[in-house]
Amino acid sequence: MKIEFEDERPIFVQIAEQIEDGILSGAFPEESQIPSTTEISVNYRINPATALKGINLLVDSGSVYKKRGVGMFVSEGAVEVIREKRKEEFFDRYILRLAEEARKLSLTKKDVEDMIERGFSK
Amino acid sequence: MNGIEVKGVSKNFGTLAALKEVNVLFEENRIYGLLGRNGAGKSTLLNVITGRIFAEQGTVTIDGEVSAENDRALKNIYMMSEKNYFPEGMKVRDAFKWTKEFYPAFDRAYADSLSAKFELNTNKKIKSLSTGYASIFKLITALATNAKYILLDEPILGLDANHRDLFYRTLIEKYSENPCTIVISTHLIEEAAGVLDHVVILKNGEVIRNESKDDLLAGSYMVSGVAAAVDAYYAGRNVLGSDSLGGLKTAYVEGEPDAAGMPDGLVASRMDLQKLFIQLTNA
Amino acid sequence: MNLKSVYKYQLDNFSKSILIYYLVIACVFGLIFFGIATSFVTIKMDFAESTNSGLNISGFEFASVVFLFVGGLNMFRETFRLSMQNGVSRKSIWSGTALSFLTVGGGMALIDTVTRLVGVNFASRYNVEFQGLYDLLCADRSAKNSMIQNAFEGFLLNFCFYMAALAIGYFITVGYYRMNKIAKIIVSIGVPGFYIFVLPFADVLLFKGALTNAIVKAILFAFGGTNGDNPYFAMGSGLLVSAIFLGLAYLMVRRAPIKD
Repeated sequence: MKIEFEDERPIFVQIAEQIEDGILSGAFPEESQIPSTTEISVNYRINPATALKGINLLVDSGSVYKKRGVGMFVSEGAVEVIREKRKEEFFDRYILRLAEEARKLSLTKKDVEDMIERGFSK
Repeated sequence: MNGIEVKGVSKNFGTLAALKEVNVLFEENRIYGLLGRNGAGKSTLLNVITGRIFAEQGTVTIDGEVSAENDRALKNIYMMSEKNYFPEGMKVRDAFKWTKEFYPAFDRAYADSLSAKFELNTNKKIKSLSTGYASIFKLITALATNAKYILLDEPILGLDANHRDLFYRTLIEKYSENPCTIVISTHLIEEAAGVLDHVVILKNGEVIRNESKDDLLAGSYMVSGVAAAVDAYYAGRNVLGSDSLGGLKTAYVEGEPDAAGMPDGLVASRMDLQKLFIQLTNA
Repeated sequence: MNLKSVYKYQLDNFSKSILIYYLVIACVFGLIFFGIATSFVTIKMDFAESTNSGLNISGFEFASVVFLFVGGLNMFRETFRLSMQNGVSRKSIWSGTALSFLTVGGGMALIDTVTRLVGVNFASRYNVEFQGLYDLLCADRSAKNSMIQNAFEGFLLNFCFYMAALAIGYFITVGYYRMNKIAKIIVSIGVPGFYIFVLPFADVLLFKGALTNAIVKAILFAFGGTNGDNPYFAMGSGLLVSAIFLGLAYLMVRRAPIKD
């Protein structure tokens, strides 16, 4: 797990996404405990407040909840929640960027569609 | 008002004005980066705060109490600096013992376990420690005091990469489990940037920036592209500096990029803390 | 609370050298008394008039005075730096140090008084003259007094002198810490030079010796010499000197910055 400090998105967002990735991939199954803010901040060498901000994003989106005195746990149904969220973001993050980059390189829509075909057949 | 409040502090060394009416507040439970070039006044400021030297003007209060000659107020602060003020012939373990005498909250067990982690031999005399291990000894002592305000002046001087890594982990762990205020004065800005909450930048004895790290970084950006386009772009904006590479130019700008987006051919990106610091403090 | 810690540290600082000092004294006296008792040793030492076997041991407390003066010289710099590192106010540094002086001065005064009494008692059996500071200063009084009063006044006398030695040593070391390089040179050369050269010359040339006379008279007065057998003058002088030099030291410690 790695975060890029040069990445445009704020660190706490990247933290949240890394955890979401873990939930999606099954590394953090539903109803299991995720690392604490201390563990996360030590691991990434970041300020605990930043780690907390990242976790709070997940709490707000419903992927994670707090068990008093124990820690943070993956919510039931979190996988679905994250998938839906990512699907919405997919358009902005990947499609729009793809179109912009294609324009820069003077690729036509057909060029891009062919490439998509190739990509999916891999 | 809790925190270390520095009000209107000025300090001269002969004709040199090391600090010029400095105002800054170090709040509770935050990790501060105190940044500045050599001679900017960082150590001087820390020495005035801890009462080791006297300021010509101004006051320092700790949790509302004036700190000067105030045993009770000073009990809440511990500073480790480049200089060693322990008796040279003293052994590390005895230094721990005496620190506990002066700071009852000093956690000897924690100090010993950190010493093991860092491979510091507590039987050694302080004067026989290498630069790196002298730093390690001092930072372990500082962290173990459990003081409310811990000031670290160049804590990573001489530490090898592995120990630096361990230092950051230790710092974060301690801060996470026992929140306190930590002020780190360092030249290794980018390495330390991740753990900082808040940044105070000193330049020629004056505070030029005093804000949260996120705000500071959000308040400026880089613009890269063809030199002519970049020049055209930053006319009328607050430019901190620029770098050129052939026909390509990168300008460092204060403010925020237009929400509408950048003109064609120009790319805006975030600056990291070290880059921003350099641009802010260059001449 | 910081005061207590400084006090503890100063005592700890002093303890090793005090131990060694008394070990040496014990060995020296042990040897001497053993020699006397076994008639193995006969030495002729002339510090004062000898009326008995020719052996006269006197004024051993001077060694303690010198020891404490040197001790006082070592009680600032290291402690100051350690205290600065540990958030101690300068007031506490001075107070803790002054208190430690009381303890050390008092303790050593006590030990030396006991030594004197034992020595006097022991020596009288072998026709050897043993005199402590107290005996030297007021011989008649010492002979007339009861043992208890002897002990008490002797102890007080020792204490006052010891405090003065500590105070002067401390004052000098703090003074040197505060001075910059040039001042140090001026003082190091100037002060001894003044007393050794300037004063005598000026006295001879200008005052025809009257100045030295006056100084000697003042010293005698302070030590009770002109007032007969009264040790209390000397005690008062000792205490006064202690107070003055400790007070001056405080003024200098108050604004002492950390130096590198």
